[in-house]
Amino acid sequence: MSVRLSTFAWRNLWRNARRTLVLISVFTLGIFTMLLIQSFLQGWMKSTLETTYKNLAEPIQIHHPAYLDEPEVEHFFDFNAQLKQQLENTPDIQIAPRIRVNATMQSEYDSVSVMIVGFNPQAEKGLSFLSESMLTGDYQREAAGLVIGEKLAKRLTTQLDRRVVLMAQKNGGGLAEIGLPIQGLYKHADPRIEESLVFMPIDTAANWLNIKQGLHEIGMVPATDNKLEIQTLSAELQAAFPELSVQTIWQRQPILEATLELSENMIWIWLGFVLLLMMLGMLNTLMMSLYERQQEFNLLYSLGIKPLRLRLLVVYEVGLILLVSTLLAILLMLGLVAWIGDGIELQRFAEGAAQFGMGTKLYLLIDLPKWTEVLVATLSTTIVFSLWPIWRATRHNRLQAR
Amino acid sequence: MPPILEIQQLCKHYHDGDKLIQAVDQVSLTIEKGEFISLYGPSGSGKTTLLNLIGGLERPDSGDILLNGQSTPKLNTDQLTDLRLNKIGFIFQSYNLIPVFSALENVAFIMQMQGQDKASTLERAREVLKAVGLEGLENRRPAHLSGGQQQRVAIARAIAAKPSLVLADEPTANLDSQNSRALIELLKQLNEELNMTFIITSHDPEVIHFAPRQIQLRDGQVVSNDLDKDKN
Ligand SMILES: Nc1ncnc2c1ncn2[C@@H]1O[C@H](COP(=O)(O)OP(=O)(O)OP(=O)(O)O)[C@@H](O)[C@H]1O
Ligand SMILES: [Mg+2]
Repeated sequence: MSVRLSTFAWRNLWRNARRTLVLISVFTLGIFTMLLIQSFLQGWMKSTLETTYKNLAEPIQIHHPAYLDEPEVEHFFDFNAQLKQQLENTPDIQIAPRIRVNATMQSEYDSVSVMIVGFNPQAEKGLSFLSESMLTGDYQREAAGLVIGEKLAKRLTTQLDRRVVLMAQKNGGGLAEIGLPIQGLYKHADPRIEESLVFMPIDTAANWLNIKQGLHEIGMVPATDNKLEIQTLSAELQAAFPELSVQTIWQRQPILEATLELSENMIWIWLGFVLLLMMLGMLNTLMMSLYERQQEFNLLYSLGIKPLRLRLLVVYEVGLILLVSTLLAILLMLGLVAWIGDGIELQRFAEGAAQFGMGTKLYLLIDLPKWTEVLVATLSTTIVFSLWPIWRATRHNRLQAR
Repeated sequence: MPPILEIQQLCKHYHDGDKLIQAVDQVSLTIEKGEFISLYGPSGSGKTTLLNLIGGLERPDSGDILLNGQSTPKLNTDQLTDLRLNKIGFIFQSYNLIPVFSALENVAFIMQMQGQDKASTLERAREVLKAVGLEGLENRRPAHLSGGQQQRVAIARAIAAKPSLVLADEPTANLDSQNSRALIELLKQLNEELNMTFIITSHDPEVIHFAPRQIQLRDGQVVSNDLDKDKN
């Protein structure tokens, strides 16, 4: 048995157990809310990025340098042996070669302008949304045919197994026409995609457009989701193939990055708000408790305990409350994360969210650096805020008046 | 050897609204080591103020206090706090003990704050609690001790670290006459056994006359300063 300051602090907490429990509840709830907001935001950002990747906008893409500004059929690049070799030797990546051109699609009722994606079904599997969004038919059939959105089919008043005609500029000049059957229909949360993206086997597209081994795009998904590693990989490829354009999603879609960054900054307004409420609750209770203990502080001071020690004692008490609350809040969060599991699909809001390019899945991401940020902010703010009443209650001139 | 306490021309005033209260007025006293002194006088005569000045809880307007030859008004507030911790034992009328500590811990806590090591602290705390007649009650918290027992714990704490001077401000005021008598006898006994110096304020004639030397205050001034003729 010993009577250290920590023993004293711990026992003081249970002197007014109700008040201590109120404080612990306030802090637990506050910290939990902040972790929840942060985890939700991180989950949402990740979900948004993943959704973006699946909409044929992979973290890294390779194009002809002019293609992104002018997506013309001539702006293709040769998928030569050297490039193939390099990509095969890059570990932990998945790639999908594509031909992408604008075209007009015609049924017996209507004609609509669409975006043709010539793709390799094997390579595309797991990369783009297509593998998860098939409604009817089969996108993996080798036979020449089209996979189109259900909404587009409706617009053209056509359906599975019916033929449509596609018309586009071909390489070398002139219009090229091709008639193909619809062999699959897909659904997508974003109606703009569902009405415009038309998939066909890459060989069919190459023949039709007369570009042989040429590609308009290689989509590339590295195993890592670390931004810096992705940027490094992209820069390496760019250096190896200066005649091509190798760009990351952040280079291609600066607005997406700005939006995500803004959200991250905006979240601190909410966190600050929660923090403020917590501080108000804490200060109120702390001041009451310090006021009630004035007599005891006077006694201790009279017996020769310096104000610094008294302050340390109360900081110790606040610290213990914070420690218990933090542990409880983390436990609650882990419980909630486990309960939600892989996430909740927001069916009802999916279409609206998708139009803004947002993720359609609600899930909580345990992002340790972000959690640490929240905890450090809470703990330091609390200690700083509590110092003032503690200092006030233990000033010499207040303690002297006995 | 200098006297343990020498007070020279000590003054302390307060303001009560517009009124100026001269709580301690030109007090000069010399107290030798081992003395047992009662300080009495009507309410408001300045007893508590004088004890607080000696203990460094208040600062004088003028005059000097020499404790073991050292002038205390010149010390800064932290030095005065250390002085109380190490050289002076305080006993108050009420609210003497820390409620969350047992009797033993109340005594040991202060010694630990003095930087003494844990084992010897607890041993010493047991020893002094036994000396004040509380053997067997070491682990009770103040709420489970009688008023007289609580004051004994306060005494044990005050003497545990062998201070030069023990200041007791109406230590018996909340006790019945029997307990009051026992307590003052205990203080006297400790005074004799340990050759420790005590200054005790009181309104109780029995307590006042128990002391060999009695100092009377009125309106902040010493009006009598006698060795009791009946006693010695
Ligand atoms: N902090 C203070 N502020 C204003 N006046 C004070 C203060 N402390 C004491 N006084 C005044 O100084 C005078 C002396 O007070 P003090 O407490 O020393 O008297 P006392 O002899 O201890 O009285 P009692 O027997 O009632 O305890 C009183 O008139 C009191 O009102
Ligand atoms: Mg008094």
